[in-house]
Amino acid sequence: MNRMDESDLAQMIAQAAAEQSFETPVLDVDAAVREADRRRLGRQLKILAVGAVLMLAALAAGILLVLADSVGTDYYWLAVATAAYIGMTLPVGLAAVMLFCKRLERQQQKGVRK
Amino acid sequence: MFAAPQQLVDEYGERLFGLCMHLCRQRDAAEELYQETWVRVLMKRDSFREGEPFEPWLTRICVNLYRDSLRRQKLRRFLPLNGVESTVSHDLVSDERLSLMDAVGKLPDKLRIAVVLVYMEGRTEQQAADILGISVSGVKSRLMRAKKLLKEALQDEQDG
Repeated sequence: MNRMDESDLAQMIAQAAAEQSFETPVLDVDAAVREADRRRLGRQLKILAVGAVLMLAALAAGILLVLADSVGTDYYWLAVATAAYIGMTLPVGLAAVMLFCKRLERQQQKGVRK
Repeated sequence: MFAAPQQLVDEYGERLFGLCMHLCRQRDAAEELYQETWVRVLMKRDSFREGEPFEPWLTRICVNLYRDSLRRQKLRRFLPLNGVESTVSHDLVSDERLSLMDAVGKLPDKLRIAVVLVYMEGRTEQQAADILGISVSGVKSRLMRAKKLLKEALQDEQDG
C-alpha cells in the first residue's frame, strides 16, 4: 500500500463500509413488545421485592420492640398473634414475588426473532 | 409521540443492523445485539422525550449495549474480516481495503467504536460525541489515534 495521508484513510474506510451490505434479520415485533413489557414488569417486581424486604426488616424490629415492651401486659398475646400472622404471611408473599421474577427471567432467554 | 414499533423497525432496522454488523463483525453476535437493542428501545419507550431525534437515541442504546457486552466479554473480539458475513463478494473489495478493514477490527475498542460511528456510519463528530457521552475533542482525539495506529499497521504490513 502506498503512503497515504489521514484523510485518505477515512475515505477508504467509508468506501469499504459502504461496499458492504447485510441482510437484515426479520424481527417479530409483537414478541419484542411482549418481551419488553415482561422485562419492565420484572424490574418493577424486583423493586417491589426489595421494598418488601426492607419493610419486613423494619416490621420485625418493630414487633420485637413491641413484644419486649408488652411482656406481662394485657395486650401481650395480641402482639404475639399479630407478629406470628405477619411473620408467616409476608415471607410467603415475598417468595411468590421472587418466584414470579425468576420465571420472568427464564422467559427472557427466549428470542424474539421470527 | 413514540411511533408504532413496526414502523420504527421498518424505518431504522436496516441501518441499525448495519451498525450492529460493523460493531460486532460477526453475524450471530450482531443479530443478538440487534434484537436486544429493539427490546431495550421498547422497554425505554416511556422515557423517550418528545421532539428528540429518534436515530441518535437508538444508536446510543445500541452502542451502550455493545460496550456493556464487551465489558462482560460476552462477545468475541478482534475477529478477522473473513468472519464477517456480507453479501458483497471479496472479489469486489480490493486487498487493500480488506487489509484496512482487518486493521480497523484490531483497533482498541474505544477507538474502533469511534471509527465505526464517524467513518463507517457517517455520523458527525458531534453526534458521535453525544452517543458516546464524551466531548467532541475526545472523539477527534480517538479518531486521530485510530488513524495513526491504522497507518502504522498498514505500513508494517507493506514493509513486512
